[in-house]
Amino acid sequence: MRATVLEESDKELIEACRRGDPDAFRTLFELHKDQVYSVALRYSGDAAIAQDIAQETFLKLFTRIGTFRGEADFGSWLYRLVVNSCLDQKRKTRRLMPLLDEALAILQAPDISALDEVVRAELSHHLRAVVEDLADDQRILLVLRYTQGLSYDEIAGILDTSNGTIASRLNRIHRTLERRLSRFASRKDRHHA
Amino acid sequence: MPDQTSWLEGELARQLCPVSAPDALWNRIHEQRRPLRVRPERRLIAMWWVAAVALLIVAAGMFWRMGVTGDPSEEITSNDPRQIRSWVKAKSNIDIPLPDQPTLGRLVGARIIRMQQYSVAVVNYRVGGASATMLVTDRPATGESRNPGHTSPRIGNTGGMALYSWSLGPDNYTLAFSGAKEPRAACLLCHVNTPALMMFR
Repeated sequence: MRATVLEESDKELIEACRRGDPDAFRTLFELHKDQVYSVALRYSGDAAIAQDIAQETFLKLFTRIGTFRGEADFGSWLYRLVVNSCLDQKRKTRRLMPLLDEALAILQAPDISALDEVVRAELSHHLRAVVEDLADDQRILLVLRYTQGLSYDEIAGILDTSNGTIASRLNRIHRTLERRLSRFASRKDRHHA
Repeated sequence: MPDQTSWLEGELARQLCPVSAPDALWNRIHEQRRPLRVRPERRLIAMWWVAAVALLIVAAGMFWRMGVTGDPSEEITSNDPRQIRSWVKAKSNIDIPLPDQPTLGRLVGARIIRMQQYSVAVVNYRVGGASATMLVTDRPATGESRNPGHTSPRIGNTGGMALYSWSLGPDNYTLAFSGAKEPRAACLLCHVNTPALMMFR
């Protein structure tokens, strides 16, 4: 689903979908299901919500494929559908990440050499919670960047903004994450001391 | 941590790595399994259905007094479009041009409602986790309700249900769909890129 110019076979596949060929729908689904589901799952953090988002995305795809113009980038168009489905999804059932009590117990371990590993593991655990606390538009940006490995240019095309805006927003998100993690790490240091 | 930035990049890539879609996803889209969770708005739709059923019971009583009959034997449970089409044609002389293989969606069945001078064929199907009901009657539409041709559909929405109505040949169609999030998905039973579907955009 990377943003690339459509191959001839892709064009034929999309044409077949526009004609209503059920086999073509299935093929298109098989080609893109993992990418769509990955974005949905990494955005929502919940398998049931991710399936809802993926279902909605493919229904949108199938009902709107008639409006897709062949010269446009199919990958970007599909990403826009899934991103919009994600952002439409209300976060009512956002999963609560487990708190760090278990990790605090591990930190009682006197072995200093093991401490760094423990802190890293705990930070990793904490990162997930911090990412889940980000605003929806920030989280979807991280998913496009890290789940799909898209370039700034590609993300800018999907979100209809400039390359510079994407770079600046990602930079801001990184700083936010680092700040929150540092705060957490210093709390741990004080606790351990 | 001095290398926190690179650690952060690596950790984000690890935690947000791609995953495989579950095998059940296609069935969920194509065979219309119910969504895994019940959302508040779906509960509202369920309440609307309860109200609708109550209304139908009252209406059934009124129809009965008016001479309308709905013979329970005139009902078929099938997901085969050809079987439903020929059954409806044989029972009511209404020919519904269902595709031999639906683009997306699964038929559930059909029934015939007898009015005094005409029949109504009711075709039920599911698409994208939601129910759709298509009513077709050979009763001529009159006055403002007449929509000549499939390309002049009317669109409405009531109680979270999308409603479409149109004419095709001598017959009048009405489609009710409970999938409010993507109402045009109901059209996928027969259409993908057709003027009819474009009209609903």
